[in-house]
Amino acid sequence: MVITLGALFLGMSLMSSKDLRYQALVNAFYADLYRYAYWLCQHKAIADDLVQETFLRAWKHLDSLLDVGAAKGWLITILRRENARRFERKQFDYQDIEQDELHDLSSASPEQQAELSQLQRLMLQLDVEYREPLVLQVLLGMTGEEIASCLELNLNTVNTRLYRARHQLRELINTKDLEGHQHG
Amino acid sequence: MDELEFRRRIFSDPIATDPALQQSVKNDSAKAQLQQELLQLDETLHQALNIAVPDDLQARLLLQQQVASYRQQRRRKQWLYGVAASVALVLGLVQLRFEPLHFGQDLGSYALAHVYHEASALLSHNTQMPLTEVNQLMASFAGRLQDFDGKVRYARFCHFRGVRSLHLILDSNEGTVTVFVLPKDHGWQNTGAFADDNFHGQSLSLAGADLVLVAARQQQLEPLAGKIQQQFSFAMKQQS
Repeated sequence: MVITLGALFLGMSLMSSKDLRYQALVNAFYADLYRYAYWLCQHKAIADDLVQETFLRAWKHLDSLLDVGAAKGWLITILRRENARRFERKQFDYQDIEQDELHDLSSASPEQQAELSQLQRLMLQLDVEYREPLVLQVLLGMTGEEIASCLELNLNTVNTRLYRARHQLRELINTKDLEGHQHG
Repeated sequence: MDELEFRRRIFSDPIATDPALQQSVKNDSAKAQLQQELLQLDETLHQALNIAVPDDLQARLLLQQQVASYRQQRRRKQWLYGVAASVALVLGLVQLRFEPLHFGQDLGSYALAHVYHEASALLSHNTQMPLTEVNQLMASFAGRLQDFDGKVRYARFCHFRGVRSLHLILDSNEGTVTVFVLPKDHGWQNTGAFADDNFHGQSLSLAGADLVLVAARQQQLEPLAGKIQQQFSFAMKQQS
Protein backbone atom coordinates (compact mmCIF):
# COMPACT_ATOMS: atom_id res chain seq x y z
CA MET A 1 0.00 0.00 0.00
CA VAL A 2 2.75 2.39 1.00
CA ILE A 3 4.72 1.48 -2.11
CA THR A 4 1.66 2.00 -4.32
CA LEU A 5 0.96 5.43 -2.82
CA GLY A 6 4.62 6.33 -3.18
CA ALA A 7 4.63 5.35 -6.84
CA LEU A 8 1.47 7.35 -7.46
CA PHE A 9 2.87 10.40 -5.72
CA LEU A 10 6.16 10.12 -7.57
CA GLY A 11 4.29 9.71 -10.84
CA MET A 12 2.18 12.79 -10.16
CA SER A 13 5.11 14.96 -9.15
CA LEU A 14 7.06 13.88 -12.24
CA MET A 15 3.99 14.54 -14.32
CA SER A 16 3.55 18.06 -13.04
CA SER A 17 7.20 18.90 -13.71
CA LYS A 18 6.74 17.59 -17.23
CA ASP A 19 3.58 19.66 -17.57
CA LEU A 20 5.48 22.79 -16.55
CA ARG A 21 8.22 22.11 -19.08
CA TYR A 22 5.64 21.61 -21.77
CA GLN A 23 3.87 24.85 -20.93
CA ALA A 24 7.14 26.78 -21.03
CA LEU A 25 7.89 25.24 -24.42
CA VAL A 26 4.48 26.24 -25.80
CA ASN A 27 4.73 29.78 -24.48
CA ALA A 28 8.22 30.30 -25.89
CA PHE A 29 7.79 28.79 -29.35
CA TYR A 30 4.17 28.44 -30.44
CA ALA A 31 4.07 31.71 -32.40
CA ASP A 32 7.38 31.15 -34.21
CA LEU A 33 6.41 27.59 -34.96
CA TYR A 34 3.04 28.57 -36.37
CA ARG A 35 4.61 31.18 -38.64
CA TYR A 36 7.28 28.76 -39.79
CA ALA A 37 4.59 26.14 -40.47
CA TYR A 38 2.59 28.63 -42.47
CA TRP A 39 5.53 29.61 -44.69
CA LEU A 40 6.33 25.92 -45.10
CA CYS A 41 2.90 24.68 -46.17
CA GLN A 42 1.28 27.98 -47.26
CA HIS A 43 -2.02 27.19 -45.59
CA LYS A 44 -3.29 28.56 -42.30
CA ALA A 45 -5.49 25.64 -41.28
CA ILE A 46 -2.76 23.13 -42.07
CA ALA A 47 -0.22 25.23 -40.21
CA ASP A 48 -2.52 25.19 -37.21
CA ASP A 49 -2.84 21.40 -37.43
CA LEU A 50 0.88 20.93 -37.84
CA VAL A 51 1.63 22.98 -34.73
CA GLN A 52 -0.85 20.97 -32.66
CA GLU A 53 0.54 17.66 -33.89
CA THR A 54 4.05 18.88 -33.25
CA PHE A 55 3.39 19.87 -29.65
CA LEU A 56 1.46 16.67 -28.96
CA ARG A 57 4.41 14.65 -30.17
CA ALA A 58 6.79 16.91 -28.29
CA TRP A 59 4.87 16.29 -25.09
CA LYS A 60 5.04 12.52 -25.54
CA HIS A 61 8.78 12.63 -26.11
CA LEU A 62 9.63 15.50 -23.80
CA ASP A 63 12.03 13.32 -21.82
CA SER A 64 14.29 13.03 -24.85
CA LEU A 65 14.82 16.81 -24.89
CA LEU A 66 17.79 17.23 -22.58
CA ASP A 67 19.25 20.53 -23.77
CA VAL A 68 16.97 23.56 -23.49
CA GLY A 69 19.06 25.40 -26.07
CA ALA A 70 18.22 22.75 -28.64
CA ALA A 71 14.46 23.08 -28.11
CA LYS A 72 13.74 25.27 -31.14
CA GLY A 73 15.61 23.04 -33.57
CA TRP A 74 14.03 19.97 -31.97
CA LEU A 75 10.50 21.36 -32.45
CA ILE A 76 11.23 22.38 -36.04
CA THR A 77 12.52 18.90 -36.81
CA ILE A 78 9.33 17.37 -35.40
CA LEU A 79 7.19 19.77 -37.40
CA ARG A 80 9.05 19.01 -40.64
CA ARG A 81 8.48 15.29 -40.08
CA GLU A 82 4.80 15.88 -39.41
CA ASN A 83 4.61 17.88 -42.63
CA ALA A 84 6.32 15.10 -44.59
CA ARG A 85 3.94 12.56 -43.04
CA ARG A 86 1.04 14.67 -44.30
CA PHE A 87 2.20 14.01 -47.84
CA GLU A 88 2.62 10.30 -47.19
CA ARG A 89 -0.92 10.11 -45.86
CA LYS A 90 -2.69 11.96 -48.56
CA GLN A 91 -1.95 14.25 -51.42
CA PHE A 92 -3.99 17.34 -50.67
CA ASP A 93 -5.07 19.73 -53.31
CA TYR A 94 -4.10 22.97 -51.68
CA GLN A 95 -2.95 24.83 -54.72
CA ASP A 96 -5.18 27.76 -53.92
CA ILE A 97 -2.98 29.94 -51.82
CA GLU A 98 -4.74 32.15 -49.35
CA GLN A 99 -3.63 35.64 -49.95
CA ASP A 100 -6.36 37.58 -48.30
CA GLU A 101 -6.19 38.81 -44.73
CA LEU A 102 -2.99 36.88 -44.26
CA HIS A 103 -1.20 39.13 -42.00
CA ASP A 104 -1.21 41.42 -39.15
CA LEU A 105 -0.24 44.63 -40.91
CA SER A 106 -2.59 46.89 -39.03
CA SER A 107 0.18 48.92 -37.42
CA ALA A 108 1.84 49.76 -40.74
CA SER A 109 1.04 52.75 -42.96
CA PRO A 110 -0.93 52.05 -46.17
CA GLU A 111 2.26 52.38 -48.22
CA GLN A 112 4.13 49.95 -45.97
CA GLN A 113 1.14 47.61 -45.99
CA ALA A 114 1.27 47.44 -49.77
CA GLU A 115 5.00 46.72 -49.69
CA LEU A 116 4.70 43.99 -47.05
CA SER A 117 1.74 42.43 -48.77
CA GLN A 118 3.67 42.30 -52.03
CA LEU A 119 6.68 40.76 -50.30
CA GLN A 120 4.45 38.09 -48.77
CA ARG A 121 3.13 37.15 -52.20
CA LEU A 122 6.63 37.05 -53.64
CA MET A 123 7.82 34.79 -50.81
CA LEU A 124 5.15 32.29 -51.74
CA GLN A 125 6.47 32.29 -55.29
CA LEU A 126 9.88 31.10 -54.15
CA ASP A 127 10.53 27.36 -54.21
CA VAL A 128 10.16 25.85 -50.75
CA GLU A 129 13.81 24.78 -50.76
CA TYR A 130 14.81 28.47 -50.92
CA ARG A 131 11.94 29.85 -48.87
CA GLU A 132 12.43 27.50 -45.91
CA PRO A 133 16.05 28.38 -44.98
CA LEU A 134 15.30 32.07 -45.48
CA VAL A 135 12.38 31.90 -43.03
CA LEU A 136 14.53 30.05 -40.51
CA GLN A 137 17.24 32.69 -40.80
CA VAL A 138 15.22 35.91 -40.97
CA LEU A 139 12.19 35.04 -38.86
CA LEU A 140 13.61 32.56 -36.33
CA GLY A 141 17.11 34.06 -36.20
CA MET A 142 18.87 30.74 -36.72
CA THR A 143 22.53 30.54 -37.79
CA GLY A 144 23.71 28.75 -40.92
CA GLU A 145 24.90 25.81 -38.82
CA GLU A 146 21.58 25.49 -37.01
CA ILE A 147 19.67 25.58 -40.30
CA ALA A 148 22.00 22.99 -41.80
CA SER A 149 21.39 20.70 -38.84
CA CYS A 150 17.58 21.12 -38.99
CA LEU A 151 17.34 20.59 -42.72
CA GLU A 152 19.98 17.84 -42.72
CA LEU A 153 22.06 19.65 -45.32
CA ASN A 154 25.69 20.72 -45.28
CA LEU A 155 26.53 24.34 -44.56
CA ASN A 156 27.62 25.15 -48.14
CA THR A 157 24.30 23.98 -49.52
CA VAL A 158 22.43 26.08 -46.97
CA ASN A 159 24.50 29.18 -47.87
CA THR A 160 23.90 28.61 -51.56
CA ARG A 161 20.16 28.34 -51.00
CA LEU A 162 20.11 31.49 -48.88
CA TYR A 163 22.05 33.30 -51.59
CA ARG A 164 19.62 32.17 -54.30
CA ALA A 165 16.60 32.98 -52.14
CA ARG A 166 17.62 36.62 -51.67
CA HIS A 167 18.78 36.90 -55.23
CA GLN A 168 15.49 35.67 -56.64
CA LEU A 169 13.51 37.81 -54.24
CA ARG A 170 15.36 40.94 -55.33
CA GLU A 171 14.79 40.08 -58.96
CA LEU A 172 11.10 39.51 -58.35
CA ILE A 173 10.86 42.86 -56.54
CA ASN A 174 12.65 44.66 -59.36
CA THR A 175 10.37 43.07 -61.96
CA LYS A 176 7.29 44.11 -59.97
CA ASP A 177 8.64 47.62 -59.55
CA LEU A 178 9.28 47.80 -63.28
CA GLU A 179 5.74 46.61 -64.03
CA GLY A 180 4.44 49.16 -61.53
CA HIS A 181 6.31 51.97 -63.28
CA GLN A 182 5.14 50.86 -66.71
CA HIS A 183 1.53 50.75 -65.57
CA GLY A 184 1.90 54.02 -63.69
CA MET B 1 37.98 38.50 -51.64
CA ASP B 2 36.72 38.74 -55.21
CA GLU B 3 33.36 40.20 -56.20
CA LEU B 4 31.67 36.84 -56.73
CA GLU B 5 32.73 35.48 -53.34
CA PHE B 6 31.63 38.74 -51.68
CA ARG B 7 28.18 38.56 -53.26
CA ARG B 8 27.82 34.89 -52.40
CA ARG B 9 28.57 35.59 -48.77
CA ILE B 10 26.66 38.85 -48.28
CA PHE B 11 23.57 37.39 -49.95
CA SER B 12 23.64 34.32 -47.74
CA ASP B 13 23.96 36.43 -44.58
CA PRO B 14 23.81 40.23 -44.86
CA ILE B 15 24.72 40.79 -41.21
CA ALA B 16 28.23 39.66 -42.15
CA THR B 17 30.00 39.07 -38.86
CA ASP B 18 33.07 37.79 -40.70
CA PRO B 19 35.99 40.34 -40.29
CA ALA B 20 37.17 39.81 -43.87
CA LEU B 21 33.70 40.63 -45.12
CA GLN B 22 33.46 43.71 -42.91
CA GLN B 23 36.82 44.88 -44.18
CA SER B 24 35.82 44.65 -47.81
CA VAL B 25 32.56 46.54 -47.07
CA LYS B 26 34.58 49.30 -45.41
CA ASN B 27 36.86 49.64 -48.45
CA ASP B 28 34.16 49.71 -51.11
CA SER B 29 31.13 52.03 -51.05
CA ALA B 30 29.28 49.98 -53.69
CA LYS B 31 29.61 46.90 -51.47
CA ALA B 32 28.46 48.93 -48.46
CA GLN B 33 25.45 50.05 -50.49
CA LEU B 34 24.57 46.45 -51.42
CA GLN B 35 24.84 45.37 -47.77
CA GLN B 36 22.51 48.21 -46.70
CA GLU B 37 19.96 47.20 -49.34
CA LEU B 38 20.07 43.59 -48.24
CA LEU B 39 19.76 44.51 -44.55
CA GLN B 40 16.78 46.68 -45.44
CA LEU B 41 15.27 43.78 -47.37
CA ASP B 42 15.72 41.50 -44.37
CA GLU B 43 14.11 44.06 -42.10
CA THR B 44 11.05 44.35 -44.36
CA LEU B 45 11.02 40.61 -44.88
CA HIS B 46 10.98 40.04 -41.14
CA GLN B 47 7.88 42.21 -40.85
CA ALA B 48 6.26 40.47 -43.79
CA LEU B 49 6.93 36.98 -42.42
CA ASN B 50 5.68 37.94 -38.97
CA ILE B 51 2.08 37.02 -39.72
CA ALA B 52 -0.72 37.03 -37.16
CA VAL B 53 -1.05 33.88 -35.06
CA PRO B 54 -4.58 32.62 -34.23
CA ASP B 55 -5.67 34.13 -30.89
CA ASP B 56 -6.67 30.84 -29.31
CA LEU B 57 -3.79 28.67 -30.55
CA GLN B 58 -1.78 28.98 -27.36
CA ALA B 59 -4.79 28.08 -25.18
CA ARG B 60 -5.62 25.10 -27.42
CA LEU B 61 -2.05 23.79 -27.20
CA LEU B 62 -2.13 23.96 -23.40
CA LEU B 63 -5.54 22.31 -23.29
CA GLN B 64 -4.57 19.46 -25.60
CA GLN B 65 -1.67 18.62 -23.28
CA GLN B 66 -3.92 18.60 -20.23
CA VAL B 67 -6.27 16.18 -21.96
CA ALA B 68 -3.38 13.96 -23.01
CA SER B 69 -1.93 14.14 -19.50
CA TYR B 70 -5.26 13.19 -17.97
CA ARG B 71 -5.55 10.23 -20.32
CA GLN B 72 -2.08 9.06 -19.45
CA GLN B 73 -2.82 9.37 -15.74
CA ARG B 74 -6.00 7.36 -16.18
CA ARG B 75 -4.12 4.68 -18.08
CA ARG B 76 -1.58 4.57 -15.25
CA LYS B 77 -4.38 4.11 -12.72
CA GLN B 78 -5.92 1.34 -14.79
CA TRP B 79 -2.54 -0.31 -14.90
CA LEU B 80 -2.30 -0.12 -11.10
CA TYR B 81 -5.76 -1.66 -10.74
CA GLY B 82 -4.62 -4.40 -13.09
CA VAL B 83 -1.57 -5.11 -10.95
CA ALA B 84 -3.68 -5.14 -7.78
CA ALA B 85 -6.14 -7.58 -9.36
CA SER B 86 -3.29 -9.84 -10.50
CA VAL B 87 -1.74 -9.85 -7.03
CA ALA B 88 -5.12 -10.76 -5.52
CA LEU B 89 -5.53 -13.57 -8.03
CA VAL B 90 -2.06 -14.95 -7.32
CA LEU B 91 -2.68 -14.83 -3.55
CA GLY B 92 -5.95 -16.68 -4.11
CA LEU B 93 -4.25 -19.36 -6.19
CA VAL B 94 -1.44 -19.73 -3.64
CA GLN B 95 -4.00 -20.23 -0.89
CA LEU B 96 -5.79 -22.84 -3.01
CA ARG B 97 -2.50 -24.59 -3.62
CA PHE B 98 -1.91 -25.04 0.10
CA GLU B 99 -5.49 -25.70 1.12
CA PRO B 100 -6.98 -27.52 -1.85
CA LEU B 101 -10.76 -27.42 -2.15
CA HIS B 102 -11.83 -27.65 1.47
CA PHE B 103 -11.26 -24.33 3.18
CA GLY B 104 -10.78 -25.15 6.81
CA GLN B 105 -12.98 -28.25 6.73
CA ASP B 106 -11.95 -31.76 7.54
CA LEU B 107 -13.61 -35.01 6.65
CA GLY B 108 -15.40 -35.34 9.99
CA SER B 109 -17.08 -31.96 10.04
CA TYR B 110 -18.13 -32.35 6.45
CA ALA B 111 -19.60 -35.78 7.18
CA LEU B 112 -21.55 -34.26 10.09
CA ALA B 113 -22.85 -31.48 7.88
CA HIS B 114 -23.92 -34.10 5.37
CA VAL B 115 -25.80 -36.07 7.96
CA TYR B 116 -27.64 -32.97 9.19
CA HIS B 117 -28.45 -31.92 5.68
CA GLU B 118 -30.12 -35.20 4.84
CA ALA B 119 -31.35 -36.15 8.31
CA SER B 120 -35.07 -35.93 7.60
CA ALA B 121 -34.81 -37.80 4.34
CA LEU B 122 -32.68 -40.51 5.89
CA LEU B 123 -35.05 -41.16 8.78
CA SER B 124 -37.94 -41.83 6.45
CA HIS B 125 -36.06 -44.64 4.72
CA ASN B 126 -36.84 -47.72 6.65
CA THR B 127 -36.84 -50.51 4.13
CA GLN B 128 -34.32 -53.30 4.00
CA MET B 129 -32.16 -53.31 0.90
CA PRO B 130 -31.09 -56.70 -0.46
CA LEU B 131 -27.40 -57.35 0.00
CA THR B 132 -26.86 -58.01 -3.70
CA GLU B 133 -28.15 -54.57 -4.55
CA VAL B 134 -25.86 -53.02 -1.99
CA ASN B 135 -22.93 -54.95 -3.38
CA GLN B 136 -23.68 -53.70 -6.89
CA LEU B 137 -23.14 -50.23 -5.56
CA MET B 138 -20.09 -51.36 -3.58
CA ALA B 139 -18.60 -52.77 -6.75
CA SER B 140 -17.69 -49.34 -8.02
CA PHE B 141 -15.33 -49.09 -5.03
CA ALA B 142 -14.15 -52.64 -5.66
CA GLY B 143 -15.76 -53.44 -2.31
CA ARG B 144 -17.94 -56.15 -0.89
CA LEU B 145 -20.13 -56.48 2.13
CA GLN B 146 -20.10 -59.94 3.69
CA ASP B 147 -23.14 -61.27 5.48
CA PHE B 148 -24.31 -58.41 7.60
CA ASP B 149 -26.29 -59.35 10.66
CA GLY B 150 -28.55 -56.40 10.52
CA LYS B 151 -30.17 -54.48 7.75
CA VAL B 152 -28.98 -51.99 5.22
CA ARG B 153 -31.63 -49.34 5.39
CA TYR B 154 -30.24 -46.96 2.78
CA ALA B 155 -27.58 -47.15 0.09
CA ARG B 156 -27.02 -44.48 -2.49
CA PHE B 157 -24.20 -42.63 -4.19
CA CYS B 158 -23.74 -39.10 -3.07
CA HIS B 159 -21.19 -36.42 -3.65
CA PHE B 160 -18.79 -35.38 -0.99
CA ARG B 161 -17.75 -31.99 -2.45
CA GLY B 162 -17.00 -33.41 -5.84
CA VAL B 163 -15.85 -36.83 -4.58
CA ARG B 164 -18.20 -39.64 -5.45
CA SER B 165 -18.97 -41.66 -2.36
CA LEU B 166 -21.39 -44.27 -1.19
CA HIS B 167 -23.79 -43.33 1.56
CA LEU B 168 -25.04 -46.25 3.68
CA ILE B 169 -27.25 -46.47 6.75
CA LEU B 170 -26.92 -49.69 8.68
CA ASP B 171 -29.11 -51.04 11.43
CA SER B 172 -27.63 -53.72 13.63
CA ASN B 173 -27.75 -54.99 17.16
CA GLU B 174 -25.20 -52.42 18.14
CA GLY B 175 -27.39 -49.61 16.84
CA THR B 176 -27.79 -47.43 13.74
CA VAL B 177 -24.79 -46.03 11.96
CA THR B 178 -24.27 -43.92 8.88
CA VAL B 179 -21.31 -44.99 6.75
CA PHE B 180 -19.67 -43.02 3.96
CA VAL B 181 -17.43 -45.02 1.67
CA LEU B 182 -14.82 -42.90 -0.07
CA PRO B 183 -12.14 -43.84 -2.54
CA LYS B 184 -8.60 -43.64 -1.20
CA ASP B 185 -7.72 -40.56 -3.28
CA HIS B 186 -10.51 -38.33 -1.91
CA GLY B 187 -8.06 -35.61 -0.87
CA TRP B 188 -9.60 -34.89 2.53
CA GLN B 189 -7.77 -34.97 5.80
CA ASN B 190 -8.67 -37.96 7.91
CA THR B 191 -9.55 -36.68 11.32
CA GLY B 192 -9.85 -39.87 13.32
CA ALA B 193 -12.58 -39.27 15.87
CA PHE B 194 -14.89 -36.26 15.80
CA ALA B 195 -18.09 -35.22 17.51
CA ASP B 196 -20.64 -32.50 18.12
CA ASP B 197 -23.64 -32.20 20.50
CA ASN B 198 -25.79 -34.80 18.70
CA PHE B 199 -23.48 -37.08 16.77
CA HIS B 200 -20.04 -38.52 16.96
CA GLY B 201 -18.01 -40.39 14.46
CA GLN B 202 -14.66 -41.59 13.29
CA SER B 203 -12.87 -42.29 10.07
CA LEU B 204 -11.46 -45.72 9.30
CA SER B 205 -8.71 -46.27 6.83
CA LEU B 206 -9.07 -49.66 5.20
CA ALA B 207 -6.81 -51.18 2.61
CA GLY B 208 -8.86 -50.20 -0.46
CA ALA B 209 -11.08 -47.36 0.77
CA ASP B 210 -11.69 -44.93 3.57
CA LEU B 211 -14.83 -45.11 5.68
CA VAL B 212 -16.42 -42.43 7.78
CA LEU B 213 -18.83 -43.58 10.46
CA VAL B 214 -21.37 -41.28 12.09
CA ALA B 215 -23.73 -42.35 14.87
CA ALA B 216 -25.91 -40.78 17.50
CA ARG B 217 -24.06 -39.51 20.51
CA GLN B 218 -25.45 -42.09 22.94
CA GLN B 219 -24.32 -45.05 20.83
CA GLN B 220 -21.05 -46.84 21.25
CA LEU B 221 -18.99 -46.59 18.10
CA GLU B 222 -16.23 -49.09 18.84
CA PRO B 223 -18.28 -52.31 18.47
CA LEU B 224 -19.83 -50.94 15.28
CA ALA B 225 -16.42 -50.00 13.93
CA GLY B 226 -15.02 -53.44 14.72
CA LYS B 227 -17.93 -55.17 13.05
CA ILE B 228 -17.76 -53.03 9.96
CA GLN B 229 -14.04 -53.55 9.61
CA GLN B 230 -14.66 -57.28 9.62
CA GLN B 231 -17.52 -57.30 7.20
CA PHE B 232 -16.43 -54.75 4.61
CA SER B 233 -13.67 -55.77 2.28
CA PHE B 234 -12.10 -53.82 -0.54
CA ALA B 235 -9.75 -54.90 -3.23
CA MET B 236 -6.54 -52.90 -3.40
CA LYS B 237 -6.64 -50.48 -6.26
CA GLN B 238 -4.48 -51.65 -9.10
CA GLN B 239 -1.58 -49.34 -9.73
CA SER B 240 -1.65 -48.38 -13.36
